[in-house]
Amino acid sequence: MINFILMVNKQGQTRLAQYFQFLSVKERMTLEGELIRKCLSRSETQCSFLEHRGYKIIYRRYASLYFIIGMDLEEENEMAYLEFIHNLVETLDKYFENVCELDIMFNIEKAHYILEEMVMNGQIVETNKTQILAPIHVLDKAKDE
Amino acid sequence: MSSGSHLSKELHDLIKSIGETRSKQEEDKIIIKEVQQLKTKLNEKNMPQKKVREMLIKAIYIEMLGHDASFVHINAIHLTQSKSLALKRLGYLCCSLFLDNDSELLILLVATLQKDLTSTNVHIVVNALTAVGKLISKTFVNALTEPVLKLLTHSTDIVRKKALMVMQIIRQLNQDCIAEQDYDDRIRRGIQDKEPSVMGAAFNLYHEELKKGAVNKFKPLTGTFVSMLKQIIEHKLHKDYDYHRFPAPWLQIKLLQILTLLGANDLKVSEQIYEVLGTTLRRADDTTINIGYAVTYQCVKCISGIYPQQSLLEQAANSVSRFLKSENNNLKYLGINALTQIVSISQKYVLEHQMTIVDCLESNDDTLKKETLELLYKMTNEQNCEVIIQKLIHFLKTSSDSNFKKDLFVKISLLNEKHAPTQEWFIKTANTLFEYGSEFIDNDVRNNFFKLLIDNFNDIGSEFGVFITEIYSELLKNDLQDNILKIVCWVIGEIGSQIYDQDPNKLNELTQLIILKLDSQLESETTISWILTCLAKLQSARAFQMFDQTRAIFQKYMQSKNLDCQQRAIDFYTLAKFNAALKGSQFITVDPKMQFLDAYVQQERQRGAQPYNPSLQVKAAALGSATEAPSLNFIPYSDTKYGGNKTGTFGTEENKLTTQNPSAPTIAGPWDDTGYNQKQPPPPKPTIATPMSIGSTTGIGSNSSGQTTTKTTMQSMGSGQMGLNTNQSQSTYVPSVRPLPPKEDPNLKEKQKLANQLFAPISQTQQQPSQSTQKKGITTMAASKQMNSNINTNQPQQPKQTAQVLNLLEIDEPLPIQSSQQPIIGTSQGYVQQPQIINQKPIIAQQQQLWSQPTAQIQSIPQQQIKSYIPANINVDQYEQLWERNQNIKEITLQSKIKSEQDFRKMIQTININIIEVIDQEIICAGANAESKSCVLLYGSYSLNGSLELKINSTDPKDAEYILALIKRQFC
Repeated sequence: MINFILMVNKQGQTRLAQYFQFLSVKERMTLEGELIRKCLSRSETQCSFLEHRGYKIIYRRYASLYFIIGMDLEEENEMAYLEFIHNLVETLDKYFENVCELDIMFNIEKAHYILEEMVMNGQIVETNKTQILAPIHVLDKAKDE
Repeated sequence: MSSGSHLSKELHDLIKSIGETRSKQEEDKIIIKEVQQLKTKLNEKNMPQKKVREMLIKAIYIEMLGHDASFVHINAIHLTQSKSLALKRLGYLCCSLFLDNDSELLILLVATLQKDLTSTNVHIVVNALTAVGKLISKTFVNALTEPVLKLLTHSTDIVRKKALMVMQIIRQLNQDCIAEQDYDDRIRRGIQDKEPSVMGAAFNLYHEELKKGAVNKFKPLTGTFVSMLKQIIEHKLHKDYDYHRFPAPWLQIKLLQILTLLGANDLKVSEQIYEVLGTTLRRADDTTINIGYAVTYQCVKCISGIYPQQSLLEQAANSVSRFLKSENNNLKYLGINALTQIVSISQKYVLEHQMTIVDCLESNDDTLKKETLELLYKMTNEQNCEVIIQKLIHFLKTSSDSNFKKDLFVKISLLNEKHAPTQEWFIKTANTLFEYGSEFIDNDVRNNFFKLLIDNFNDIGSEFGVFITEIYSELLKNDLQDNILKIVCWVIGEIGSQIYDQDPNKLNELTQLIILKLDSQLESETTISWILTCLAKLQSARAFQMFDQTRAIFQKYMQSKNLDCQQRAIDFYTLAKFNAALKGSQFITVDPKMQFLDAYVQQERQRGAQPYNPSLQVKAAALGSATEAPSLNFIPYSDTKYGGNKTGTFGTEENKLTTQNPSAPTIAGPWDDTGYNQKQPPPPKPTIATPMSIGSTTGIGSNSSGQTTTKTTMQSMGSGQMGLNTNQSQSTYVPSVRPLPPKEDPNLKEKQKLANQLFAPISQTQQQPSQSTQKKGITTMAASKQMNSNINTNQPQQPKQTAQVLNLLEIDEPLPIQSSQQPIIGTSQGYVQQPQIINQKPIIAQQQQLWSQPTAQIQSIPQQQIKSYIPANINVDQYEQLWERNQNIKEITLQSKIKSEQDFRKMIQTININIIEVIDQEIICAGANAESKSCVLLYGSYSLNGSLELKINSTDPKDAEYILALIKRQFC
């Protein structure tokens, strides 16, 4: 299962963090720090997978923002999760129109909602962008009224 | 949209400033200031909900950036009760971000969640389900189960989808909430849902059930899954599910995972899968996008996971080679992993990629290297092992990544052990490995290596011994790392001392080399302990001469501050004293027939003493070392066995010890190398001999427990427990050093095994070279011993079985009277009781205890009888085994005087055999002919009217007849 999904920028600042297994604030900080250092130490040509603290880590960089997924070691298809990250980014992009780090910052709750629609209980439940965004649009509409 | 114009200026500025920070300190400063402001604002009454909303968003930032915002957690809970859909969702989101599943605050949410789950507003229901999925915990899973299950049939697909996922969590939290059948029905309805989203969610649930092992009950669904996959790859789903024009890839992957589990080791199921699998792979292969590769990879995993099919394997191998040939490391990574999968089925596909694999090993990408190592490890066989190991050692030499090196080290040693072509190659590789990976040598590695060496030594013999002693003494001339020095010390001490037992020059040379090492720069004091142990072992060699030097060294280290060193020095010093003394008395001969007593015997006879009666069991003991053990055996010995057999019944040596004058213990004395090593299995927890117990060895000849203790000292060192000893002795003052701290317990068994293998085989090779290729250890000892004494029995030998069965018997075998000082074979097994000497006939009422207590009997022969019997203390299992082996069964039903158990016992007592077990009116007994030792088993069933059914099973049919006649005469 997926244990966490993070968005951390090159400066090591966490922009979004969703954990599917509870970790204390302190544990999260340490883990995120270590992970971003590891990701930053890797070059473009190296593969996007690594192991850290018993997690299988899959990461992908978009401009200055790293998307990091931490999974159980037994989880088997790294490439599928790498593409899942891309699907997440495409979905964010569809919603925010040309998404950037600041979009996520100013709308952090929305970014969370989108993730909540895509992953439940550490498993991918939805990859259809229309389906993912439908409930979010409902929220937006409800607020507008 | 990134303007943030929808936010209040305050929040907007905060987020902007966080975004602009360039250091962690700067960020912290902003957050700490914000936390203080928030705390004061909390006191405001009637805060508008919009304000609460902003406060919570700030709290999300505060916690995300590593600070505590627990003071607003309660506000998040309040917000979930909001009438506004958006605020409600934010409330739930914050709860799930902030609260642990064990949080007490969660209980406040239950009522709200229950209400929202039953709301008529579908959006509220969706919000609530999302929240339940994250927040549900064991404590209130029951309260929410029912409303969630109801939602599985909701008219909106997103509700059904989420309800399914929540149902999965409910079952994970509490199995009892949903009955298994009910659960299966509900997920089956899930995959039959007309909405692909719901169906896709249900796949997760199936996959989880299958991973948990419930494969068989879902096998009938294979067809359903196959047709779903078929529909997906044929673009039957709405194009919204496409990803880069590839149809529902994540659903395909999930289905492939499910099919892999269903088809594993099952040809029938796999046959249903082959076709769709081939098509899926072809279609995925046709794409050149990442997601296509992901599906290809999953197909390959499926192909190698289900029952193998040749054409699919070829197809998979082709796809894999495309991955491997790619420049992209992600694809290479997939390729290597996929190849690892395929290799487990067929090695041939690896060949064409050898160079790629080597390239990957040299890659600068740690992840790739690690996976490649795994692959290499899996594909190594006898043919390629030399090359692969050389390559791996090269990496060990050059790598600077310690995790990678450790991994390499472990894998190389495993491969070397498994596939090394020759002994020489094995040793040399091991030495290189130790040289470059000395930091990874721990107790396990060492013990394992020693075990292999000693096994080989026993198999091949002195040739190998000379060979490794040469190699290691050569090593001694260099500067060595401590970890390697320890190994060298062990080899020289354990094997060198045996090989050059009679060669004073060689021994001197080795001793000199070892002593020199004491002056070299050592990393830790434990190494000194190893060196001391080595010296102690060397000085036990027969031709050892340098006692002065060793004694001086031991004396020096008796002052050592390291307790372990000190203790060993004291022990070895004491030993050295005895050793030297013993060497001096080397040539005293002992008269095994004790003719020096003749005059005395003559004198006593003249005074009217009874003549010596050789038919008594004492005979065996009196004859001393030249005779067979007087132990009670169930197998008849032929007379020729007496005096002839020296193959290792422990009684043999024992007799020597007891019959000899303790002051002249040279022949079989404990310090004689042969005797020294003989059949003294290590006790379960070796303890270093304290000076007290060393002292007790003064009575060498008469106290064999002294030997056991001292030898143990060396074993415990040989097994490499020193590191731990020292740690312990440094941390706390322990008067008598215990080399086995509790921490070591998990390894105890392994160590015992090692210790057994260190010892038992040595004596065996010396006595029975022909058997040295057998598996070593106590088991074989016992077995071979029994087999030897079995030679003259009528039974055809079934070596394999016999060894096992006999071993069982061996352990509890009754010991003779004289064996009171016998080291107990099999002590390390922990269940053998100390032999007890019972001089009187066993009293039948005591049976319960007697079963397991080996006893011995000297029974005077009843006057009118020609044959006499002695009881055999065996247990029911042994009885049954013996019964199976003996085929001379005499069956008879008599009318007798025996009408009660008491009568029956009387009869058994008269025969003088032993009752093994009584079940109602059935009794089984065992005994042996006092003279021939042939075994007699008796089964009797009496009834109140005097009818007596007997089955007598004896090795010698005459015994059965005799006993039957006796019973007829006296009890009918």
